[in-house]
Amino acid sequence: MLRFKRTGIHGKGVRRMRKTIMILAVMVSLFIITGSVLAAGIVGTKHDLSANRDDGQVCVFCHVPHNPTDKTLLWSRDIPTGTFTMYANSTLDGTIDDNLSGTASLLCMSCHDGVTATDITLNNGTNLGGEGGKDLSNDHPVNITYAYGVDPGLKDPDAVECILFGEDDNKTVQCASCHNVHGQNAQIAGVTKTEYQDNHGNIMKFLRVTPEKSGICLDCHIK
Amino acid sequence: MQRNVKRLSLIILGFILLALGSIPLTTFAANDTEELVWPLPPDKPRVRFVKTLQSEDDYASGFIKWFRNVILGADSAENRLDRPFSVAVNSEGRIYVTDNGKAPCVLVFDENAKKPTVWRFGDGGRFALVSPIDVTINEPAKLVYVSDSILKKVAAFTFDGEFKFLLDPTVEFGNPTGLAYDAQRDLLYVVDTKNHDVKIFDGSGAYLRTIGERGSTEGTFNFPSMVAIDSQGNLYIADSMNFRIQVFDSQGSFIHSIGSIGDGPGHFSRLKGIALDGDDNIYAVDTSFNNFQIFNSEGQLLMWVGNGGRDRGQFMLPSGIWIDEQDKIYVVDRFNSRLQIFQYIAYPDES
Repeated sequence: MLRFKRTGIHGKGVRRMRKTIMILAVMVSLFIITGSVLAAGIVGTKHDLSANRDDGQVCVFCHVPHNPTDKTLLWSRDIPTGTFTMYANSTLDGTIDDNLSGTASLLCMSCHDGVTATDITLNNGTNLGGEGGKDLSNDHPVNITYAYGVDPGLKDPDAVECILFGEDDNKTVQCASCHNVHGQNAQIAGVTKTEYQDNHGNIMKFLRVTPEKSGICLDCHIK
Repeated sequence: MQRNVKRLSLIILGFILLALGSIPLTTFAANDTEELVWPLPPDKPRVRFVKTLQSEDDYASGFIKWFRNVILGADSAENRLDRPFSVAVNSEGRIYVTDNGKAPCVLVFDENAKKPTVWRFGDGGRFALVSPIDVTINEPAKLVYVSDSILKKVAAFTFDGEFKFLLDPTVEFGNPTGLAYDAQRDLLYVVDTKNHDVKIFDGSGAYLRTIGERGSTEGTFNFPSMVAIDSQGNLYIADSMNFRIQVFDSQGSFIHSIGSIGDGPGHFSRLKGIALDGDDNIYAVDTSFNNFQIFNSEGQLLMWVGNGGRDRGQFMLPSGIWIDEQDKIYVVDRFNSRLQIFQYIAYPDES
């Protein structure tokens, strides 16, 4: 029984693998085509952390190249061949504060801690809205369920500019919901800096929607 | 008002407890006593888990803790880590932890006080912190230096948390972060992350010189963050966005660098805290790997400790690290809102 089942999966597995390879090939070519566009969006923005602005290395700061060890551990007989698991732990659950595991938001918070980036991301679920309700930078919770249909104050997720993560009823708000971290909307030539735009014409703070007249808030919230 | 009621009830309870006689102190780690060491047998253990610290509850009696958590509600302890960043320990065993969370301050875990307790400073008074990052100790002058990345200042406080002075106010920081003090040479190192250099002062706050500038070659930096010194006064700088530790002698001359970009052992992705043990082994915290890696002074990888999670020996975006004179290792476990303490086990015959 077990053997039969295994064979079944194996057969299916081959077909699946072919399909996966095809999808991967399409994705890789898309990445090659769009990659340069995305990179162009990042170049010169605050997310361009390259020391030498002309060497083109702008992705590695967030997308660490796969580079398993070539070293032995002198204190341990096991020679590691694997890589570290980043931003993932499937055993966690709990409040807004605790369940960031496996989310892209952790990636943001590994730099937005007051050091590499001075704006500190806390996500401790308190003091929502900041002083006078104006500053959401520390306070809008992430990894929070988008309770469309439950909360009448939220718009249809299909009708918002911001990007919600996850499927159907389990859509969540992450940092990248409101912030386009790749900044590919940049219109580098001939832009003047305004109150809501940086030097490159990006909407300030990498926002997907302008904060002018609270646009970014009203994208999701019916007020 | 509510706080006063809480305080009053605690005081009354305190008196009741005093009357009842001593109740044994319990620690956070007491409910999980299985020994945890790295590496696993049959290899010799090199690092042992000691305990976790989080709030004044860690020193409270079981009854007070129960009363706070069950009657007043969880997390009711006033002095509790929220988003801790870094740590330093003085010779009296006082543990200073910077916290740039919802109530920025330095929390002090007074381990060796007659009555161990937790208190805070820098949350008001003559110098109110906004984004405290690193903390370090000047033992001879009994000072604690604290960097603040939003105020762009480095302040000196007494061991009791009284504000003393700011470093030379004519020096403008882009973003002061990592701190290290060399008592033998009276040198205070301040990493300026946004200016990609390291500014050097004496212990009284007078500016001496700067090393480095932005770049990726030897002796230049790209978003450097934390810093430590070894027994010889050599300087170890987390050159975070060049994905390496750069080592300089006390004159500021480049010696060598350790590590490179990658997601495997011996590499770095989001390098932050650095510390050295009594054998001058180098401990490097990587925020995105949720671990610290240990290298010998030649830069060879010895071992690493930790992965992502909430258990003992697991981390969620760890940041600062400190090793005291007893080789106790203190690691700030930022998104788990706690400090984890380990013990380095030395084998003097080995070397």
